[in-house]
Amino acid sequence: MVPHDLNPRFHGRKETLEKITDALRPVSEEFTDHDAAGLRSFAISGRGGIGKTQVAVQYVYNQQSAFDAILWVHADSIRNLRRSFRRIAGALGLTEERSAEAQDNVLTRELVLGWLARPLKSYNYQENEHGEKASWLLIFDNADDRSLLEDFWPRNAPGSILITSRDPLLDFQFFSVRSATELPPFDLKESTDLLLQLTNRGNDDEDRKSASAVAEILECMPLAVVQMAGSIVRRDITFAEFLREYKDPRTHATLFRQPAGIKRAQDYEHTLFSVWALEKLGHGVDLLDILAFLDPSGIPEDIFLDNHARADMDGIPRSEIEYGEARAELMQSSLVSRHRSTQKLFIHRLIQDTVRARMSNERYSLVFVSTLQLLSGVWPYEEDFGFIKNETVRWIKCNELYRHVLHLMHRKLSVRLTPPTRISKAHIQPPRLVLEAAW
Amino acid sequence: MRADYSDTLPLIEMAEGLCKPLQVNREGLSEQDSAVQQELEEQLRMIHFHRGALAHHTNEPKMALTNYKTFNRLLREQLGETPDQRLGVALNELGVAYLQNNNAAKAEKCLRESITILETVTDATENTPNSISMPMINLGFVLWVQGRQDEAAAVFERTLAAREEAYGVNDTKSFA
Repeated sequence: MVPHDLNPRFHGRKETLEKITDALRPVSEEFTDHDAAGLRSFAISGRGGIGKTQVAVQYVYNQQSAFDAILWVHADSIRNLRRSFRRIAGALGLTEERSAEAQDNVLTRELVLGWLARPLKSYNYQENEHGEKASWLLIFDNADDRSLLEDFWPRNAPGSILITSRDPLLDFQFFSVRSATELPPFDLKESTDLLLQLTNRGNDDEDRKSASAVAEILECMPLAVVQMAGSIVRRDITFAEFLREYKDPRTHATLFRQPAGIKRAQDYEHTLFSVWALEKLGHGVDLLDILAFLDPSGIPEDIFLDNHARADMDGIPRSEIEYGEARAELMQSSLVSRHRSTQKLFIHRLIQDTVRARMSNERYSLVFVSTLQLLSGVWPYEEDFGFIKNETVRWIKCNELYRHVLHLMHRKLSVRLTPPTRISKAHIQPPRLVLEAAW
Repeated sequence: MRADYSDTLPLIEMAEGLCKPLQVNREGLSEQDSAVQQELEEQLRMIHFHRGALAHHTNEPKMALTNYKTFNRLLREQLGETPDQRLGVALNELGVAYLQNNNAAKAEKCLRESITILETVTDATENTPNSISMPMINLGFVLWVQGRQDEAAAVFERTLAAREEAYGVNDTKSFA
């Protein structure tokens, strides 16, 4: 019951697969004392497009002989959870096809949970005299919202559960998940290999070098590598041409929207444009938009706290509570991470590129200008015009913020700007800050 | 100015890119307060000042002179005949730019005017030795390169004496 084909191009992830295999080894009867419920579980977390589902699929195919039943659940929405459980109830023979029971969400859920708790191979006592139990593996795929799982989580059930989720903070303790791993991107070699393989390129030193540069700007993210490989093959361009093109942020919208065009698992149609589910964001969206313009390698949080600057954009979180909520949402989706002791946020470049690529020109300009307005709000300006006093006390702060102004310049982010139609005092701040930074 | 000058020019250009469209949209501005307009004009002026300073630091005399000239012209347009500290500072820079372009006569004229202005403006007189040190020192050099050693020495001595009176001998606190 795996809705995905085995991916013939799957590679790497050996260590993760071993970890899962160890953690989910089916429980044999004699060990059940050791673990009262006999439930084993493992969670794979990480941001969208990193390959969590692909790892789960690979694990399932590797281990299919170890389990009597493998049950795949789409856990991304309540609708899909119910549908998956109805389907499983039918497949296990707990409901009859086209019966009223088979359509009953509550009944099918209870039947399946009942079977998982007491997984008899057969209810026919003649065939199954000793009540022989089946070993099972349940996969909750894309369980990004923990609250949805509650009603579907097997209790006191002897079996193995594999979860994939974007939420790194998911409190799996509640669900008694014993082990978890955060799936990292590929390393540079793995992603370079994947890119060369998908593009069928010569693999000489020069190719390898530029392929490695492509993999690097794509942050070794599997989905990005697959999708851009598709674009490179379709348009028959060189890696060097692709790199040149990618430097211009105006190309991103088109690049990120096109699907890979390479045969993939049927129901995974994500592109970089869709994979992070940015359209589903609530409070976090305005914060994320601003973060998309700042230097991703460490964004001081005081840009958002203690900042009274007037900004063109509505919806920038200003109070500590608003900011906390927005940040929590972004962290739950693995879009942003935070270093608590330095109070800095981190975001991946590729996520930034995508967030910006999705903006209309008007929105882009609004956010760009607002970002500078916020930076200007915390920049320690020198009051006097004169022979610049070079007050060294300002330098630490200036240096920290300077990186962010420089980032806008180095990444050529001003090329998409359209001027505002009505200007106010707040519009003087962006050029003022940039000039200050230039000094 | 920071040490990595290769970033300075692109940053100045970005600032200009942000300013220029605002200038085009002045119609939208006319309904607003004139303070915004003034600030905008100051930004546009400062772009020339920064370009001049950059050229100055990276030894491109022609570019420095062109930009400082424009900056001084724009500043005078705004200030009229009122002596102003900003003009005093700008004239000092312009003077140095003339000197870099081997025009000592014009350099001397600018620096003397700079000193006169800085001596008359109030907020500068409170701190006279520091404020006028720069154009004084530069004037000393201008006289020196013209072969007027005695005059140069007198200027340097006068400047040094003023600083020593204000800050003590060989002070390490003031900046010059």
